[in-house]
Amino acid sequence: MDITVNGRVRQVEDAIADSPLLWVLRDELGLVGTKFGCGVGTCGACTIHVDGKAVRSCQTTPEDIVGHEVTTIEGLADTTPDAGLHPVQQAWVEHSVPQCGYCQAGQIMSAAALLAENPAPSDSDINRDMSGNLCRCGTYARIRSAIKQAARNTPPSTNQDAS
Amino acid sequence: MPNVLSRRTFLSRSGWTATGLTIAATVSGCSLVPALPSRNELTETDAFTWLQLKPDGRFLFCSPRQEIGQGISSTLKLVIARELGVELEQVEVIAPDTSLIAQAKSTVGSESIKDFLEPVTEISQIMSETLRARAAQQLGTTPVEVAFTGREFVSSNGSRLSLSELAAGTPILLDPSEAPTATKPLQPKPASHLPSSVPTARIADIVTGAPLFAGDIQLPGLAHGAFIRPPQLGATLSETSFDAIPQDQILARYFDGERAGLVAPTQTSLIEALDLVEASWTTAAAADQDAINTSLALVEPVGELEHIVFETSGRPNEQADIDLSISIPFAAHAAIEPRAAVARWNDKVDPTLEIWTGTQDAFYVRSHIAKHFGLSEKEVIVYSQRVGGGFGSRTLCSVELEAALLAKEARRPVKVQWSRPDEFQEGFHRPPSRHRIRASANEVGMLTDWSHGFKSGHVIFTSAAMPRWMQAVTSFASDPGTARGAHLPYAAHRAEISFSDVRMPVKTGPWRGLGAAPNNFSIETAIDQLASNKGLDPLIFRLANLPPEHKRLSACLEQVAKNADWQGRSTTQTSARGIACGIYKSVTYVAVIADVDIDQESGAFQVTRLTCAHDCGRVINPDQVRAQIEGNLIWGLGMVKSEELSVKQGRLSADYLGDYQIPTIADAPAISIELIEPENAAPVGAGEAAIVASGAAIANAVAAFTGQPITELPIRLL
Repeated sequence: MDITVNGRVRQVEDAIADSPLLWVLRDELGLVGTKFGCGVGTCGACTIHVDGKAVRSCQTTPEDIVGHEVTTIEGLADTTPDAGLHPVQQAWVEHSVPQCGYCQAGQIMSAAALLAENPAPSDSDINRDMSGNLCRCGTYARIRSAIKQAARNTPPSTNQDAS
Repeated sequence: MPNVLSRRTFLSRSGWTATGLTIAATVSGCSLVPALPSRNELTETDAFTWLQLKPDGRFLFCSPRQEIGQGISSTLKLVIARELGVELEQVEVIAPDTSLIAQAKSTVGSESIKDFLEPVTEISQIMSETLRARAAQQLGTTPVEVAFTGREFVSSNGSRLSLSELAAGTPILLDPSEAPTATKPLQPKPASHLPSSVPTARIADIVTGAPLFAGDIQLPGLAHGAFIRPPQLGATLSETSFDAIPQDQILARYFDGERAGLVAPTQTSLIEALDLVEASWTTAAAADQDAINTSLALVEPVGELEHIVFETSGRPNEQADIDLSISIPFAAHAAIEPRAAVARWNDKVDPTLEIWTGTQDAFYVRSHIAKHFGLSEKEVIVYSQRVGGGFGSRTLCSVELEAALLAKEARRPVKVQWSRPDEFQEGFHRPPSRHRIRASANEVGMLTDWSHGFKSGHVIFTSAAMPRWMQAVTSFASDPGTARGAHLPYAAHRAEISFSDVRMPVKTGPWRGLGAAPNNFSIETAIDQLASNKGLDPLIFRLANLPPEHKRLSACLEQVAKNADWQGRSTTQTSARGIACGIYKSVTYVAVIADVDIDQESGAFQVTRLTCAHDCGRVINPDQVRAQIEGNLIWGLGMVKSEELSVKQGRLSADYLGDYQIPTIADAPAISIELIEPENAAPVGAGEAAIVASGAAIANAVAAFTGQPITELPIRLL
């Protein structure tokens, strides 16, 4: 079966078509940036994008994403036209968000999906969309600041609804 | 004049001789003693193994301290770069590797800066002097005639020698017998070419998803393993069958009479195979929360508890102005990274066994595993990986031994990745405690009587760390982890503080701040209540009762009051304020004011702001210190707002994070922090300090609103 991950078509065995995509990404495709935290969709560490929307890869299977575009943290920077980091990754560095760093790939993927949909999120928008991404080190204040900075640094999307 | 760095000088300057656990002395020489967490003291020879100049002209720092999110790798890198006069990128830092450095004590207790800043500074200065002397020799001149540009040495006649030319193909390590003493004062070296704050190490790798953690390790032929878990705490395996698993789905099965495990080619096939294992279990007596509660009940007079923390000659009056009984539950570390380890046995090459793991104590893991398999410590190498959240949880050996057992059976490298239920059911937890505090103040608001008795599960002498016989021996000893933070910072005319350790049927151990979080929560709850009882402002009451030797704590209180514009508890129909403070490990001072919104009808509350003043002496890497304080403030919030574990039907009450609620971004308040740096104050720890005050400040705000002190955690208003 063919799946598209970070712009590349990758083959996975039919036998694992219904396995958690998280483990397929990590163990079959070597994309270990997507993290295991709980396996039941309660921590957000395994967040990826499917067609730009934040999805928990532990709750997704290869057969779910056939014909869709998957982006992982390793491919996030390539989704922006500029070379270098995605504006969310850049803001994460500038605000020195990570402590242990384990949850941060998932945080960044959720934040990037939030900003793609809502370029100027309010505090309550951030709370709603980011509450499923747990951080035990307690970096939340910096996550909030970094999202707001990335929002300022992200050029408005050209195909944005004019209303 | 070159001379040898004397051990005595080095040790006295670095303050290393005062460390060490009583238990190591108590039981040393006994062959049955299991491997114990590493608390060994530093010698100057150890320090000489940390830093080298590599042939490529870069410096390699083999850190004795593990990176667990506290930012120590980049902070020590900053110190080294300053002392050597080089750029940050010229210094490579690697995590504790048991094959590269002498045994280092575990990364616990917020000691990395307090105990390691001086030796790291000193070793960097010695390296700097040594290289200059060698360069001068090669350039045919004297050290004073040689300038260092950060990349090369330049003599007064203009001849040049780069760092890589100096190394000439061989790493330069310091030889303690030849090294000059450090000549410069141990003051921060001004380094205008370096930033004043550096982010955590490898931040670019973190935000791009590069491999960093134990679970990210990939090796040729790597398989995946797991152990079968008991349905209840303490259940023993009586029978097991792997027959239902298709033969091609498993690579190895393991059964040693007590535990069973299996190895599969992939993580997904492993998870499927685990479901097919048939196991029967025998439960002797199921653990029970009611029995735990009974064992913690404070029925004895305070004076009859086992261990005395402090007492004055005059005993406190039995008749007290306030009499509070405070109940604090089990709590989990709930690091987002569940434990993982990879093990590989080698038939024909050294070392015999390699382990990749994220641990706070690589040397303890090595000695524990070596002892288990009858290997010498040289035959085992532990490669430390970045830890995805420690908080005390990675101080013992668990998943590493499991990986080694399964890899041996499977005759191939094996990764064991703990599940989230494994973390809750197989990990260890902060013990529950019960506190009774009776206190009185006189008519002018001076504390006269203080009696604090408490019972708690073990923190250091825990069943998670030692066999049953040793638990019995240590049951008579005072657990220093349980006692941490029980001292009263305020002056009382008559005081008595004592406690008893209670053996828990649940594995317990160190959790951020050890006993200090629950103990200081209890103290600050009672002090606030006593101020209310006397009709006094809680800030003024605290300041009035702090003795002169704690003027740094008074300064934190005054600063936080100023920054938050404290005008009393400021209770409205929908909000209130609370204040609390504390001293961590006698060296770090902190005060916090919490602003809390409360919905009277639903009983829900939201912490809207935490204002903190924090004094950990001289600050080396300010932004990372702030990050540690932010984390502590959030931990205090979680501790009082939502975190609770109990025993239900013979198991811990949580299997997943939905069953054990840590703070989310929606819980996180605005935070403002002021770092206070008194002149000449030595740099100390920040990793576990603010937690002692933030929870109590929040609880005191809620208490101001309801008029009732918070005596049970987590807070439930309805």
